[in-house]
Amino acid sequence: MNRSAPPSPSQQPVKSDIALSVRNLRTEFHTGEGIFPAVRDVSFDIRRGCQLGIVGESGSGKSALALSILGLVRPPGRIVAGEVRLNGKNLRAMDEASLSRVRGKEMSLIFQDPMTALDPVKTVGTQIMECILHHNRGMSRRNARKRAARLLDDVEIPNAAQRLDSYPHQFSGGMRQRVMIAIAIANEPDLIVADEPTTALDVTTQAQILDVFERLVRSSGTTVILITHNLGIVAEFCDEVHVMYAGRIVESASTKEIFRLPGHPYTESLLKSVPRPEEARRGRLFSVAGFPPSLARLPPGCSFEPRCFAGRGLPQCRSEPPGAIWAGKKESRRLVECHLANQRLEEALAE
Amino acid sequence: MKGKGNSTQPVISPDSGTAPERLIGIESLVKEFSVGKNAFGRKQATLRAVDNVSLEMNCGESFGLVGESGCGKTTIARCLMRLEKPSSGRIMFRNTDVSALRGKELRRFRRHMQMVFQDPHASLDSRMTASQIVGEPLAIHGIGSRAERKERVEEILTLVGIDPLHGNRKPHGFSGGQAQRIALARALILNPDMLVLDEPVSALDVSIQAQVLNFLQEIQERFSLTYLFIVHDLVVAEYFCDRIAVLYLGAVVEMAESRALFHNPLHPYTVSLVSAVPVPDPESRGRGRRIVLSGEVSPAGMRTEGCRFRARCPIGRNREMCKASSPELVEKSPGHWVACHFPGELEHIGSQAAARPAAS
Amino acid sequence: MIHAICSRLLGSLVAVFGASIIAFLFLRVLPGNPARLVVGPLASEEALQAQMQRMGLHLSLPEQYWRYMSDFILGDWGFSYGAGQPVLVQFGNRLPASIELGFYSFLFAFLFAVILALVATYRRRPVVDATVRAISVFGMGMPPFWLALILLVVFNEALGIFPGPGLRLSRSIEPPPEITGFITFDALVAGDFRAFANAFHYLFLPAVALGMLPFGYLVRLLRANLLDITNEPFILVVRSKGIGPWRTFTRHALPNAFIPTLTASGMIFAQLLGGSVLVEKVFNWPGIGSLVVDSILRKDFAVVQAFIIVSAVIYVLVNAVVDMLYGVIDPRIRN
Repeated sequence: MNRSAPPSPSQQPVKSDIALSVRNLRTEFHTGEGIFPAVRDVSFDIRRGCQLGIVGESGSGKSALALSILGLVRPPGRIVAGEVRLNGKNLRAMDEASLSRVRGKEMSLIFQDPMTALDPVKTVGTQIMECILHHNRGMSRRNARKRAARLLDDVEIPNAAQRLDSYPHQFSGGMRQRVMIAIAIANEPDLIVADEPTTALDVTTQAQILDVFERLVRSSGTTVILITHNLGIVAEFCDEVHVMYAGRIVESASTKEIFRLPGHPYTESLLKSVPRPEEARRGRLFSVAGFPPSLARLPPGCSFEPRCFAGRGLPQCRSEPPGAIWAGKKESRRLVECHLANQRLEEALAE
Repeated sequence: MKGKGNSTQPVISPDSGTAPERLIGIESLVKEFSVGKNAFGRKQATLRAVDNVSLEMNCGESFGLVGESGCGKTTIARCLMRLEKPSSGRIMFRNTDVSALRGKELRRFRRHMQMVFQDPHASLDSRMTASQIVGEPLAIHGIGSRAERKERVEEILTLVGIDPLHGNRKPHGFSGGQAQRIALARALILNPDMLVLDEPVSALDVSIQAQVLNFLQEIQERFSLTYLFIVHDLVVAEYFCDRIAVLYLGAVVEMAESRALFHNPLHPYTVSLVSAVPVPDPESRGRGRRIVLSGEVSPAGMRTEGCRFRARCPIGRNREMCKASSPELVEKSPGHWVACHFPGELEHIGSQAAARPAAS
Repeated sequence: MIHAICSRLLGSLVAVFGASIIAFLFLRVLPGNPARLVVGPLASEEALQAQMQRMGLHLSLPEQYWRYMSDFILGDWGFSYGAGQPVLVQFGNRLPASIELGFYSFLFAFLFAVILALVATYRRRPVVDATVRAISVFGMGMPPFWLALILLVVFNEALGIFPGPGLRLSRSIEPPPEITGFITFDALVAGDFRAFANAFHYLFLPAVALGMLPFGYLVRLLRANLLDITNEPFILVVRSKGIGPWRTFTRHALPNAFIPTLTASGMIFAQLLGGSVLVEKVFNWPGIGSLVVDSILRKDFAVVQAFIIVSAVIYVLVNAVVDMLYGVIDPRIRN
C-alpha cells in the first residue's frame, strides 16, 4: 500500500513545517458484534497553520480519528497501530503522565454538543482555570482568573469577569461553544481538533462562532483540524480537505481543487447531493445509492464500490482495495484512493 | 412607512393569478404558554410562542417554515396538527375550523394530516417492529381486516423502499435514512392530504438527505400531497419549497416564493440568514459576504416595544421608527410580504455594511 | 425561593400529620380495650372505667387525638405499662443506640459503595466490574439477620476478634459522660479515645450486617451513574485539557454521579436511623427496633404510636436535608 508519501498535496512541506504527522493509524472498536475498524491505517501530515477539514458522514470514522489523535479513544475502542507525531514527538510512545502535559497545552479539543461538553456542576471560570493551572504550575489562582477573564473576552462574551462565576446551564448554546473555544485556546496550543463545533447551533449563531474561531486561530497561526459533515463550512473555513469514507481518507486535496474537480467518485457524489441555492428547483438531487457499509463487514475491494456510480461492478474495483495514488496534474494534483482516479481526472480536465 | 402595499394581514393567498385550491388557512393564530408557576400553581408569566400568524397553504404546495430555534415554527405545526390547542385564532382545513374540533371529529380529521419528525430513532417506538409501527394507524382507526392491513403495510413498505421482509426488525435495526422512510410509511398509510415535515432531513447525512428529499418529491407528485416543511436550513428550504415564511420570535417577518425570498430577501433578518449559510463553494468565500448578527434569539425581544428584531438588527437598532412601532406584514411586491420599516435596505451579496458582533 | 421553602414546609407538616393520624387510629382499630390491658383482666368494672377516664378514652375521637398530640408536643408521649416507664424516657434510652448504629451502617455502605463503584468503572476491566457486580448482588440478596448471624459465628465465636452481642461498650470501660447518647461521639467530645475505639469495635459487626443491603444497592446505583457520566462528552473535554484520568474521575465524574443517588441515599439513611428489628435482635442491640418489637408483643401500644410519629419526623428531616444538599451539589437546582 502506497502510504508512505506525505499526502499533503498542495505543496511539499519542509520537515519542520509539519505540525502533525499521522502514520498508519488504526483504531478498532471491539464489541460483541465484531471488530469495527473505525480508522483504517490512515496517514497524513498537516502543515503548521493549516486549517484542515475532515469531511465524512456518520460512521466514516472522522470522530474516532479525532480522538485517536488526542489519544482519547475510549473502551471498547482502542488504537491498535500507528504513529501520531505532534511537533515531532511521537504521542503514541508517551505514557499517560507525559501525554497529560501535551493535551491542553500543545493540542486541544472542541467538542460537538455544547450542551454536554461542559461539566454542569462546575462554574465556567473553574473549568477554564483548571486548564490554565494544570499547565502553569506555580501560577496563582488570581492570575489564572485574570487570564480566564481575558479568554472569555477574546471569544466575545460580554461582561467576561462576572460571567466566570456562572454555570454552564446559565449560558445559551452559542455562549457555551464560545466557552469551549476559550478552553481550547487557553494555553495557545499548536493544534486544535474541532469535532463538528457548530453542528448543534442555529445558522446565525454558527456564523458568529465560526467568525470568532476563525479570527482567533488565524491571528495565532494555530493549526486546526475541523471535522464536519457540512461541506459549506469546509468551503468557507478550510485550506485543505480530507474526505473520509469507511475509516479511510479516500481523497485529500486543497479546498479549492476538491470543490472544483472532485477526484474520488464519493467526493463527487457528496458535492452533488447538496442542494445549492442557484440550482433549478424541483430537479431531483443527485443521490448516492444504498447505505454506508458496516465496518465489520467491508467489501473485499474498494469500500465504496457497491455505491459507486463510476466503478460499481468493475472487476478491479470489486476485488482490489485501491491504494492512495497521486492523481491529476500540476495544481490539481491530489491523493485519491480510487482505481479510476487518473482516468476520470483526465477526462474531466479534457472537457 | 416606506412600504406602499396595503397593511392588512395576508388572509388572502398571495397568489393572485390562477387561484389554486386552498387547503390550509391559518388565521391570526396565537399560542401562549405559561412559564413558571408559583407554589400555588398560579401562572407567573406567559410566553407568546406564536404571535398572530396568518398563513395559507394551497393543495399540492410545499410550504416552508424557516427560523431558528425558539421562533415558533414547531408550535405552529403542533397547533395545526391539533397537538396543541391554539390560544386564539382559527385554523381552517378546507372549510372546517380545526381549532374547534373535538372527540371523534378530531380523530377523523387527524387522518388527513400526518407528521414526520426530525429524529426517526427518537420518534419511533423502539419496542415495536417496523410493520407494527407502519400498521398502527390502520389499527387505531379500525381500518380493514388483519390480513388486509398486513397487505397494505407490505405495499407501503415497498413503496418507501424498505424490503417487507425486514418488517419484523425494530427501528434500531435500521439506519437513520431507512428509519425515516419507515416514519414516512407510517405517515402515508392513511392516504393523508397533508404531511407536516418537522426537520425531516436535519439528522441525516448528506447523501441520505438527498435520497429522502428526492423521495419526498416523488410521493408528493404521486399522491398530490401538500407539505408543510419545517426546516432551519435555508438552502434546503429554498430547494424544496414553493413558498417560504421566515419566522422570528413567533411572528412571520417575511414570506415569499422561495426563489424571490432567497435571491431578493427584504427583511434584514432574512438577509442575514441567507448570508450566514455556509455555501459549498470556496470561490465565493469572503468576509464581506457574511453578515454576522450580534446577540442571540431571546424571548426578551418579544416584550420590548417596537420591532421584535430591533435588538439584533444591523440597520434598525438605533432608529426611532423601529423603536416606536412594530412593523406590519405588508405585500411589497406581488406575493412578497415583509414586516419591516425599511425593507430591502440591507442587501445581501457584497454588503460592506456587515454588522460586526458588538464587542461587549 | 420562599414559595419553594413554604411549600416544602407545608408538605412536611402534612406528612407528619398523616403519620400521627395513622399512629393514633392504629390504637383505636385494634381489638380490645387499652384500659383493660392496663388494669388487667381481673379488675372490676369501676376500676376499668376509672382507668378509661384517666386515659381519656371516654372522649370523642377528635378530642382524644387533640389531647394526644398536644401532650406529645409537650413531651408527654404516654406511659409504657409494659416497661413501667414513660415512653419518652424509653426513647431517650434506646433511640441514640439505633441512630448511632444507623449512622455507622450508612457510613459503611456509602464509603464502600463509592470505593467499589470507582474500582468497577475506573479502568473498565470487565473482570473487576463483574466481581463488583457480584458483590453488589450478594449484598442485596443476603438477608440482614442471616448475615448478622454468620458474622457473629465467624468473627465472634470462631475467631474471637469482635465482641459478642448485648452491649454497646465493654463493661471494663467507663462510659464517657453522656451528652448525646451516641457513645462514639460522646467519647470524642470527652477526648476518651479508648472508649471511642471500644465503642467502634462493638458497633462494627452490627453496622456491617445492617449496611450490607444498602451497600449493595448503592454500589449498583453509583456504578450505573458513573458509567453514564464517564460516557458524557464533558469528561472527554476535561481529559483533552490534560487533566489526568484519576483527577477527572474524582473531580468531575464523581460529583456528577452523586446527584442522582442523593434521593436514594436519603431514603436509605432515614430507614437505617429508624432502627432495624432483626439485626438489633440478633446483636441484642439496645436500640429502638428491638424495643418496638418487644412492645408489640407486649401490646404496649403507646411505644408503637410514638415510634410511628418519630419515624415520620426522621423521614421528613432527612428529606429536608437531601433537598438542601441538592442545592449545594447541583447548581442547576439552585435557582
